[in-house]
Amino acid sequence: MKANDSNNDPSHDSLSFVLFALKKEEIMPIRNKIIALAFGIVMLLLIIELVRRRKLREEYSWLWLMTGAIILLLALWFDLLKWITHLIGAVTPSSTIFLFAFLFLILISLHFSVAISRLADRNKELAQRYALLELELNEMKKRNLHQESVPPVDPVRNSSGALNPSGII
Amino acid sequence: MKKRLVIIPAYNEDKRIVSVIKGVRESFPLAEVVIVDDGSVDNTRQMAMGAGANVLSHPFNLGYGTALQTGYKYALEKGYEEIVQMDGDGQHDPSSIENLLVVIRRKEADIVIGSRFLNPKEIGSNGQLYRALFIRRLGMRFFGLITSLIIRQKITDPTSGYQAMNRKVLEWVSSDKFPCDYPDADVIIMLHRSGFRIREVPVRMFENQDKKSMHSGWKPVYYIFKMFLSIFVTLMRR
Repeated sequence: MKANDSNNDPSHDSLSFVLFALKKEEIMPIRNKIIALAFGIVMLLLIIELVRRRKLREEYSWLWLMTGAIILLLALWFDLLKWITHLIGAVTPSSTIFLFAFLFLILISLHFSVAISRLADRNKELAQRYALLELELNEMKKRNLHQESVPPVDPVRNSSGALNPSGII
Repeated sequence: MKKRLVIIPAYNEDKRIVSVIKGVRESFPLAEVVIVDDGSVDNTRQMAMGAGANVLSHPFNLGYGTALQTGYKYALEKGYEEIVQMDGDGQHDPSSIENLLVVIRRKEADIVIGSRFLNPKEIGSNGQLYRALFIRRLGMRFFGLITSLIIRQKITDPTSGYQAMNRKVLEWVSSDKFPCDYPDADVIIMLHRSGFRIREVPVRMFENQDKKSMHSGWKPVYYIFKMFLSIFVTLMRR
């Protein structure tokens, strides 16, 4: 009798506790669902609008579109979230969401650090080329000035600037 | 006659740059001088141009290593064969240029580093002998030791910015292999691993009187971290 009691009490072993917790949240509360759906839709629309206005490059948009899509998917398909929760051994679906949101943010920051490093390299490269070209341009200008101080001999025009009528150079 | 170039990176040095250029011209008239103005906000560019040097100007400040590399790229493009680099703050005595270049000319090494610690008996005639804070000297010794152990050759002054190189090294340092933030001990190790011959010769350096050092504030901490990481990944590259 006693043994039977402890079997029925869900808090005693971890597996049944998890199942109990999942059962308690078997269906997503309707308010949660509405908020998640609204958030997902707004996010998708915002990203598409940003791409349309060329404020966000397609290159980076796909990551955010995926995020929006995943939010929508999990809002509509709560069983999937419950299954993932069970798979990773989390207790409640909300901790699953927080875990993945956190991981996603870390990864996207890393991705941006890599992107910034690449941009910094290109920026350096550009500034160096600029400095080299500027010096070369200044030298060319100086040379030109030097040449202009001696009147240039134009083979096509004579000294008064008129075209050479004979056309013979 | 081989073409020689002295590269001098400078950041806000309008008070010293003219005397540095003059000093180089006087003690080494055969070389051409290029100043790399690293986005100075004072009149460094105008002063250097007025002194007759070629000036490469960064549109904004990019740091000492990047300024050096801009100079290298210029030297490579213009076909210079013997290159000296020295600082624009007057710390490096231009009379030592010949000591560095003679090693390159005799083909005894590909890169020559001017060391302030070899031959400490020599005392600057018109300036104070180089002295550094204890902690900084300790750092220099420490990275000198690590560098010496890795390349199995005694290096006393890996942080020295007073160097000379031939064209083979010039090609290497102009490439994207060159680490542009605080290039120093790690460059020596990288060059050694690329098969270049390294040599240290004694040079004279003066104390930097009023300028704030490149290594101030939090920078020493970052510097130590960067140097460890850079040496570590260099050793991993093989």
